[in-house]
Amino acid sequence: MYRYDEFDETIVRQRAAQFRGQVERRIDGSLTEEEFTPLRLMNGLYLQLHAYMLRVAVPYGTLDSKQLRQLGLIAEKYDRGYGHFTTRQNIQYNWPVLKDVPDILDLLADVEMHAIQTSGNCIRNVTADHFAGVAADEVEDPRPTAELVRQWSTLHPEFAFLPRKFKIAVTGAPDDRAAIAVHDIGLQILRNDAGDIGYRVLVGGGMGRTPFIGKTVRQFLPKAELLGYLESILRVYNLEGRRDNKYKARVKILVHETGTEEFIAKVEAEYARSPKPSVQADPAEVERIAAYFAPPEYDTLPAASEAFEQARAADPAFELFAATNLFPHKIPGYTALTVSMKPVGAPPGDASAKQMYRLADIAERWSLDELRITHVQNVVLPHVRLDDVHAVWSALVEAGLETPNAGLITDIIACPGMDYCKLATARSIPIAEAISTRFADPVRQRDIGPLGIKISGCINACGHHHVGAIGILGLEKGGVENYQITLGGEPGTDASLGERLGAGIDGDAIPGAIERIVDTYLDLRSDADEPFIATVRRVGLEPFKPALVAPGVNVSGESANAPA
Amino acid sequence: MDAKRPALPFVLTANDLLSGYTVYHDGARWVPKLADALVASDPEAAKKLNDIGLAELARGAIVDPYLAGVSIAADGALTPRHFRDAYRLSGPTIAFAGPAFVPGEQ
Repeated sequence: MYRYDEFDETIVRQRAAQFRGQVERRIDGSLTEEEFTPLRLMNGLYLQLHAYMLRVAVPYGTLDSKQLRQLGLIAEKYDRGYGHFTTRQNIQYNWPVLKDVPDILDLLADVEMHAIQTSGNCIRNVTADHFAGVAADEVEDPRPTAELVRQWSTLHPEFAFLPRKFKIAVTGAPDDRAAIAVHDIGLQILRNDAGDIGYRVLVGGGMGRTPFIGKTVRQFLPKAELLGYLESILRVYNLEGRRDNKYKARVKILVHETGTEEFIAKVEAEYARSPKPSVQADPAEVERIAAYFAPPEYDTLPAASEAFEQARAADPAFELFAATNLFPHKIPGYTALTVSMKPVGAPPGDASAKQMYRLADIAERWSLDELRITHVQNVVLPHVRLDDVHAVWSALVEAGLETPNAGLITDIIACPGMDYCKLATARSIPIAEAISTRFADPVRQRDIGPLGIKISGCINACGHHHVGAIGILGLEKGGVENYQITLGGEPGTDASLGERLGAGIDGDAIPGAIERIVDTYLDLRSDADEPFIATVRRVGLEPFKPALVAPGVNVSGESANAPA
Repeated sequence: MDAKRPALPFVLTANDLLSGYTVYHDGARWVPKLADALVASDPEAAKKLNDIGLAELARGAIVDPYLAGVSIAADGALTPRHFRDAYRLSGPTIAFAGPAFVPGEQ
């Protein structure tokens, strides 16, 4: 894992001290709210529907046990005993009071963490594949790249006031688990024909009210040229991105309005005239960063574990977990284990302070002291020996964290929605809870297979509904909450945006509609190995449209069987 | 404030600067319970609440004041007309890992 150097330490400490002074001046009236708002946002502090919300950066989702214990302590001492993992691999606290936030920032600084650039029109926390450094299909660990970009973009003076926020994601594997196609910039590490490492560079992906899949602007960018090329993209965007209309200010709109070829030409022209040696990363610094991500000291183990196989055979509940929540590790005898933060009927992504402490203990004992937060709002223990999986599972059972649903229909992404968020037009979490309860049976979930439901409580799409195999968008219609369903979205490799199935329906009708959509899929799939997204792509939306309406109910919502 | 004025009757609401919690104005000060809020049912009271909101915004002890439509039951009980205001009043509609949040009882 990366460790702060003296510059990181100084920047974070100074920022925390600055913010303490700013809070004091806001409370004593020296600063108006108008003056204070941009200052608090630069430190990740929002004012939501019921309270302040502090968003803490977890760079590319990587944590150690000490950091997670500190996050648990903050939840216990300054929040209401819990935190919320987000789709940007961060954690949010929903209830801090203003005067406590400087103390929270000090506690974060004690464990090399902060809330800088988790808000505002700047380059946000860089995200990466949550199986980075572990995945068997990886070309190269994406974390050194993500860390290099983090250092380059932190307090970058030229890019502190972009037209709009800017999000970068990195995958080191051909199977994209970082959703790079729906980021402002997506980077895929790959090898060219000569065997050299470089990047496929995508620009202009995004969700929100105008979703786009990112366009490839460079099929292969040599690794050493990354920062200079990123700077050229950002410079074109900074100069030409729209500042007259917030809703048209993201780089995706610039790429769309300019045209991909013209945009590429502008970037290449900017890059051609840039003083490359001075903007590219110093190779020695790249090496220094990469050294922090050297593989941990693994034991030499056989590929299979007899103890693991015996436990699977002996306990059906463990077998279900092992079949669902494990991911192949590149080191023989190890696995990456997903801890689902989606227990049946509970808010997706929430973790109590006690669960954070327990997860920290488990990671320290059984995962070489490392954890990852995923953009699917789960936690990954990246280095678990197969021999230890049963012990880890038993500990997770004690903590109520053994839900065997990774990648299945109840592994739902949901934004905070109108239960917390000031911008929301409808609630998200109760919809997720209702669907999760409806499909609670783990055996049924396994039979349905991989299926991502993603729920947003407004058009800003923080719940990634555009790339949900089933997407749900909460809106207001006629003074009540109303939900539109989309089908066919996919966040990863071969990314696609979902299409609307039909008119919006009431929240109460959602679980039934989802059930009918799933039943339609089960009827139509070519065999049990054809996943939901493949069936939708093969047959189109038409066969699913009747599922929106409950049997016996006409389109106006009146019961066809009701007496006149 | 003025641009967002809803149909009568309405109350003045905001978020408290220090806690961020929902508060209502009773004509003299900010209070945590909707039941204690001053209700504007006529143009004169509406102007008064609007003016209070502007003055309080300038004073800086609250954030994001606005006028929120309410319904008044026969027994005088106040109910928010919009579901968003109902959720601001009730707190999150879901259970979470920590103790429940009950506005007005914090």
